[in-house]
Amino acid sequence: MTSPAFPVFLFVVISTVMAASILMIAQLVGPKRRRTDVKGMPYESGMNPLHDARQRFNIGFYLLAIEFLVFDVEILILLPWAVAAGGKQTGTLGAGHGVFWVVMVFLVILTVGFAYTWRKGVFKWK
Amino acid sequence: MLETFKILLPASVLIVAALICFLGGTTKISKQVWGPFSLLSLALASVLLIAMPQILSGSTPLPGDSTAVIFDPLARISEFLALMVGVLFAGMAFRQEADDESAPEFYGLLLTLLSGLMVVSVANDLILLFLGLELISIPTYILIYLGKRDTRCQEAAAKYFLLSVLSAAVLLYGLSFLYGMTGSTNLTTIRGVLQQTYGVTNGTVQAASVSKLGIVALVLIFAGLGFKLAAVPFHFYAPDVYQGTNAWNAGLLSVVPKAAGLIALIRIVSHTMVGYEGFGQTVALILALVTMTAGNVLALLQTNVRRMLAYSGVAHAGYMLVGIAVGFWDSWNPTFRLDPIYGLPVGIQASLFYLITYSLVSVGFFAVLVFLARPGKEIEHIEDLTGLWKSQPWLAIAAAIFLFSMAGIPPLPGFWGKLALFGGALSVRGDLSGAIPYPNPSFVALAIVGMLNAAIGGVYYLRIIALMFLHDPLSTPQPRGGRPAMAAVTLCAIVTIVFGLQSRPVLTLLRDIDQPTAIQVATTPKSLPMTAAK
Repeated sequence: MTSPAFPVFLFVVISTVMAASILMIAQLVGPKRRRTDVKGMPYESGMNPLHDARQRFNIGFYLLAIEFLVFDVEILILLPWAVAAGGKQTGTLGAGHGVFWVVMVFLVILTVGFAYTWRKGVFKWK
Repeated sequence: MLETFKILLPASVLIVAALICFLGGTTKISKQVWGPFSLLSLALASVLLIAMPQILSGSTPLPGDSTAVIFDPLARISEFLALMVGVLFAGMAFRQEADDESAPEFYGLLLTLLSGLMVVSVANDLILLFLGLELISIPTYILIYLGKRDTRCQEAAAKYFLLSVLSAAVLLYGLSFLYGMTGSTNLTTIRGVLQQTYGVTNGTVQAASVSKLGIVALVLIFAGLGFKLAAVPFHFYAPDVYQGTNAWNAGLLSVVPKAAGLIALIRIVSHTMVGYEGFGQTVALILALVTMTAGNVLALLQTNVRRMLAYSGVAHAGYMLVGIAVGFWDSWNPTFRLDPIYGLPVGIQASLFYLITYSLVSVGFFAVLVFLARPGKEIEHIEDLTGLWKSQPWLAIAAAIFLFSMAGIPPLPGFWGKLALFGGALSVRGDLSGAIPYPNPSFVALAIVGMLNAAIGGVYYLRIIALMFLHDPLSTPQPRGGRPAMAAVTLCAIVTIVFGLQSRPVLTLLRDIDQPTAIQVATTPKSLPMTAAK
């Protein structure tokens, strides 16, 4: 333990060895399958694919996915709050009126984002 | 709980205004409204900030409380800096964005970003602090892309996005170690825990050596925030991004992330990590040396204005880190408080003082570039500025003032900033008993390298000034920045001169920053915690 920076050195070495060994173990122990044309084919519900899987598709899908993400995050935050708000205890994290209004502000901000994308025509499929 | 919201009030005003901008942009309201509207909201936020002591009066005293936000002198001055920078940037963009379709989004993003800087200023919690940093980063990605829609700009936006995400991950990793060591995300609590574990009580150090995890955390935090500061070796994005985007965005990038990085560094590391001063001092010292030297030497080789300013920004970040290193020494050795030189602050205060002077002149010089830019034709090459004195005399004088201040010519504020930083480094004494007050060799080396760097920096700043004043113009410029950008230039120039001659008010604001408000050291230690770093 000569230098105070020794733990940093140790950290770098361990993380490098760790990452390298995981890759190598996967390579060594993992199942070795032959790649044939049929196995490399994109899966389309059991039918033979019509095109190459890598093609451009409507940007609308992407925007819609982001829109989905907004509500996903909303549920992620609302559920724990709803569980906590149902309880009787009113600690700092409990169900006071303050927390209720914080959640309402959060919902308003989300709604503004949703309204913005709506007005910008994300849901119009041209 | 209520105080938390009161302190966040100015930032909330900006967020609400940003939301109105986003929603209003989708209606038929004229695109010209949003510039004045955002200025109005910034003014309202400033009024609230000035009235903050009155708003907070009657509340339970915050220092020592483990609340998520804190309104101490550091927060106060950082928030003022955020609003000042915000007003200048909003004003500068008036003409550029007035007829642009994306004006409301543009101003909305600017306001969001400024509120992020304000959240970073007041944050006293690791999570809130990280949230503030992201609130700065995410709008910046979009703003860079909105600036100029060509391939280089897209490249700049993508590069900034990827590297910024990487740095955020590194920072979070470091913060997670800090949380793991202390079991809290609250900075006051973390400080308390570290103080009890590694701090000095009644003249004896509690633990013989500090935790190894903390050293890893400190390095990772320095790396993550070094990206925001554009400190070498985390600066690689800066030149490409500045060059790829337009002058306005480059100006924003040169000020806001740097300010946020420095404030966060002071909050998380300098004010919180008790026991790690010795190691932190070494890291900051090496970073400062490498950053200012590399930044200045590379800036010498540039011909693109924005690329040169990017490297010059790297060099200035290096100067700020000098103050951080001195600040570590200062809090490591509380019995030997460094004396202010010529009434100028030392250590962390000097760093912040330098940040303010740098922000002022940097905004000013980028405002000159914004004023001279035309749609689709930015000032690219340094020689585009040739003979500016003949066509735009006042603009040339203002630009010269900014460049002289960056180079550190007295009596401009850049000089006082450098004097404070290097003077602080020189007043660090090597002998801890204080009997032989000889200067600490590594800090003397730092000061000497810093002064040499100031000389190197002078070369490329003076080269531009020589081009502007001593040569005939190559072509007649047709500036389209309009009056708002000109007003921003004028305001910055006047404030720079006044600030250089009379910096007392700012120094008064800075005076109490060094004292971390949380848990004070109960007794001044008689023997020094030398073992703390071993």
